[in-house]
Amino acid sequence: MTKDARIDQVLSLVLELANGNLDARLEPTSRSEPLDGVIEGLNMLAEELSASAKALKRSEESFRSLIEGSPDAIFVHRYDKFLYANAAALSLLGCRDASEVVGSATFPLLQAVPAIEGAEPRGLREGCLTLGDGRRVHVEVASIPVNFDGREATLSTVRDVSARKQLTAKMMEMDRMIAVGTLAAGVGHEINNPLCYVVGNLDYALDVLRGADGGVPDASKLAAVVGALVEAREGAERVRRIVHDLRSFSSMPNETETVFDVTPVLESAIHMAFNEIRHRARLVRDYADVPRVRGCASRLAQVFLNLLVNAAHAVPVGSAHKHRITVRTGQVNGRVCVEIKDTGVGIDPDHLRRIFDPFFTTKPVGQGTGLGLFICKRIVTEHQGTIEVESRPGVGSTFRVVLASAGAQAALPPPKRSPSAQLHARKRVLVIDDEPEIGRSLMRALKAEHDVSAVTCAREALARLLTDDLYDAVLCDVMMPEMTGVELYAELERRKPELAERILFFTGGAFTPSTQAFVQRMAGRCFEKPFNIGDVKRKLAEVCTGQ
Amino acid sequence: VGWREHPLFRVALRADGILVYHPTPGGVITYEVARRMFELALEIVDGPKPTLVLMHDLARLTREARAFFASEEYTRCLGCQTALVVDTPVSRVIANFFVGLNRPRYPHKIFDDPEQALEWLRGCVR
Repeated sequence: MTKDARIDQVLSLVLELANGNLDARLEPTSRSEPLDGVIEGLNMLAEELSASAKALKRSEESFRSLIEGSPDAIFVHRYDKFLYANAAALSLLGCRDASEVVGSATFPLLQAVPAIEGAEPRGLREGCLTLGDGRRVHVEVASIPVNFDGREATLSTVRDVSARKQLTAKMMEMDRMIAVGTLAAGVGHEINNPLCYVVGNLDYALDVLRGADGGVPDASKLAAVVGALVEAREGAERVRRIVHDLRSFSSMPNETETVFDVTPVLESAIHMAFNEIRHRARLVRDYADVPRVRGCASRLAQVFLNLLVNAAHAVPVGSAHKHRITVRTGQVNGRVCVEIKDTGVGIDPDHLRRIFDPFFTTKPVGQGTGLGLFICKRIVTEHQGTIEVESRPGVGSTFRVVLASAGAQAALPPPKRSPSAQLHARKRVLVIDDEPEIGRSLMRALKAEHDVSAVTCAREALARLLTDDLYDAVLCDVMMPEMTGVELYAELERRKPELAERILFFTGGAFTPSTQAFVQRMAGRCFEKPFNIGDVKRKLAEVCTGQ
Repeated sequence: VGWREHPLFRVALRADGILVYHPTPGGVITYEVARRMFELALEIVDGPKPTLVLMHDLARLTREARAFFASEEYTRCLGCQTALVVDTPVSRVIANFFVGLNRPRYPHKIFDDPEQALEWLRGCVR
């Protein structure tokens, strides 16, 4: 072969390689000609390029299989257009083929998930996504900037966290139940103490008034009876407060946010935890005037209860005179700060950074779920707040919860001046409660000022109310068998709306979401049992005078 | 002092302590052959020795074989000052690819003259 023909062969090899045929080779005819060196060099270069191309392809395939096989939905998007969606993303959106998503400028996902609106690279966020079949799922979205096809884009990973949300909600519920269950014995003790002298004093009063010791009671005996009844009344009030505090912890699943003062919530938690505290430490309250906060009071009560019980458990039983648990409220940069400080054993520095982790506990097996502080942190975070801890072993710990204030709209409303009950003429009042004792009690309490009758059935009451115009006001229980107060109100609202405006309600507890919503709607016209009769009289006066 | 024969190469330990690889003329050294070369060398040396590679008649050293001679395993067992002797355009290209792309971590140098290569290696032995 001539040298020119050989050079032509080399040029052909170069062109083949340039066109991407990296398998092209040319055999050197000898090893001594410079051209053979060039040919072998080209062969080796082709081999290198071929190996690099194969490695790149393998790497691409590996990454593609990782992305495609990811259980999380992965989108690449630029501005308002999707550039790529993996199989999980298509499944999440109910699409069969990527072509349904890629290139789409107005795909519903962009409207449905504010969390991934736009292409701003951001950290982990949560949102709600309406799927093609109408289901709404909670999603967690993480976005990072990427280079896609040589241009900037955003890669978003979308994870369906609905199941996790439900599990977390169940965990929180479980923790609350455990907390309340743990304290049940203490609460029972708190109730039994006043009940003991309530029952004893009432028995004494009955004995005296029935003449059990013979003869008509004289003035001194009557004075003693009055004293016993006053104490019984005070004991019953203590029981009422305990039941009220217990109710603070029984939130409904769909409980809505309200604006509230943290101090009464703290007090409820203190009452619940007091039996744990009093044998271990003195309780010091240091409350400042703080703005109200927005959120779910029962859930924050759970946080405070948890922190108080932890504070109590950090102190050994039997030296209450040496230890203090201080509950302090204050303001930090316009935010509400609640501090619970103990003089207990403190927390080991190695444990300190883990105490908010789920299932981390230093309590013996069976005495702690390890969820308490994890749930506290979650609840506080959901209230746009922070929780932090300072601790020194042997000195004590301070847990600090900082919550956003509800703002100017949350200013306390000016107290209404209630009209004096004595200023009004006698009115006709119908009491409806399936417990006849409550009807009789109200009749006794109100008969000096009003003409009161009582029925135990809402249906009977409705018939009376619809057929005559005898009544100026109605006092009605909410939860009753056969016909509830809610149903009675609905009937009256439809058929006698002017009277519906003059119904006051009382309830021993709203157990269903619809009843709870009704009680919230009737706020200001609804009393919790056991109610204060003075409050009922004042409200009756308001209703009867149309205020 | 000792040597081993293979259809595609010969490996020998000289009296001056220099290990010699000598592929047969027109030989193609693949990964398998390179590995055999390594194993036979280990039979005649008790550790890394200055190495002379007579590449002049070599037809091809595959990519995988090059990678093996620069590998961590080879370097640990036999990696020592190495002289690559070339005298054809093909062997020169192969040696330069090995040095430039595989970058062996032991000292190495390309020579046209075997005597100069031996001289350089003897300096190491001394």
